[in-house]
Amino acid sequence: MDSFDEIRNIWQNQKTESLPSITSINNAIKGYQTKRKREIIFLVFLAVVCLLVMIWVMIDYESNLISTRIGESIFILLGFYLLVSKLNLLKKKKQEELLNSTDYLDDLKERSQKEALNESRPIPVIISVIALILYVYEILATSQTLLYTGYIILCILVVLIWFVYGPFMIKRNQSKIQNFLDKIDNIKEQSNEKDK
Amino acid sequence: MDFDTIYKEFSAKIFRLCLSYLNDTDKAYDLTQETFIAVWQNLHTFKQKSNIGTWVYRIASNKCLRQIETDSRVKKISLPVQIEAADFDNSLEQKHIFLRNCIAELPELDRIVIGLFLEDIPQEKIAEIVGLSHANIRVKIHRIKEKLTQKFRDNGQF
Repeated sequence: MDSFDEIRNIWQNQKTESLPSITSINNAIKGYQTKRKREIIFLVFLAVVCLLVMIWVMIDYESNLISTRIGESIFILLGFYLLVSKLNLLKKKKQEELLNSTDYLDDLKERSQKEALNESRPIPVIISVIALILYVYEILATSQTLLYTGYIILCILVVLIWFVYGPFMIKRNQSKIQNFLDKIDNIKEQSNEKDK
Repeated sequence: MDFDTIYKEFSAKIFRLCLSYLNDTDKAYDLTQETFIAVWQNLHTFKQKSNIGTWVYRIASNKCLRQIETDSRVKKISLPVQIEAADFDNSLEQKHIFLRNCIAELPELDRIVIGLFLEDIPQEKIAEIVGLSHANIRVKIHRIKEKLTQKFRDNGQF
């Protein structure tokens, strides 16, 4: 028996009796399942309620203007897009755990960067503002002053979102995940160390 | 293999693997539980072609690596680099603590590699779990073994 076998014996003889029983693991799984189901049900419920409200508004507010209809449709499509992307994210989380460690780290890095960028991207906000611009046209068009004032405010809002909020969020999210990305790079470097 | 059998066969091994990475019993218990929730969730995707052990260890290793996200937010209190021999008598429990502290000083990937090796996982399987070449794993294991053995010798733990 060499000296490392002794180390191995020490390692394998560690106490593990207080590990959770199979019953408590099954309970934890049930709890997890319920929580996950609740999350999905809440998301779908929220989406359905928003959709129904929007459809009700479309029916109730009998507009003949195409801009109002386009605005309403953009809102509905945007809601669908956000719901589908959130559900896809929940599904993907499950699959990535089956990768080998090196691929997992690559995936983790790519995903974190993408998430930080997506959170910073003002595109969904800009689309919402465009939908709003189209939607409120009918209301604002009743008076020219109201129309100009309303649209100047909305244009300023778009400029602020694009040139101030967007870059600020990118910078904030980058600095937030930088430490994490550095750690991933550090581990990746460990895997590249070979026969030094 | 059903979930209960997998849990019975691998829970202690996975716990020790998590312990080798975290050097914290409570966190290792939590991570073991998280690993088995993920095993249960993904069990239907397991293909009989691969070894169930390799598959479970792969999930556990990734769970361990995921901890760097938490570690980047929480400041760690570093362990003493050298542990004086006088601090320990030779009881088994103290040897466990000494070994865990020695492993805690290793870089993240080395902690996973040695954790798997100490569980008698063949080197080819470790390479498969970690995603490195067999040659790379062999070199790593050789170096870590040397380091740990030396530490044990220097501190009179044999």
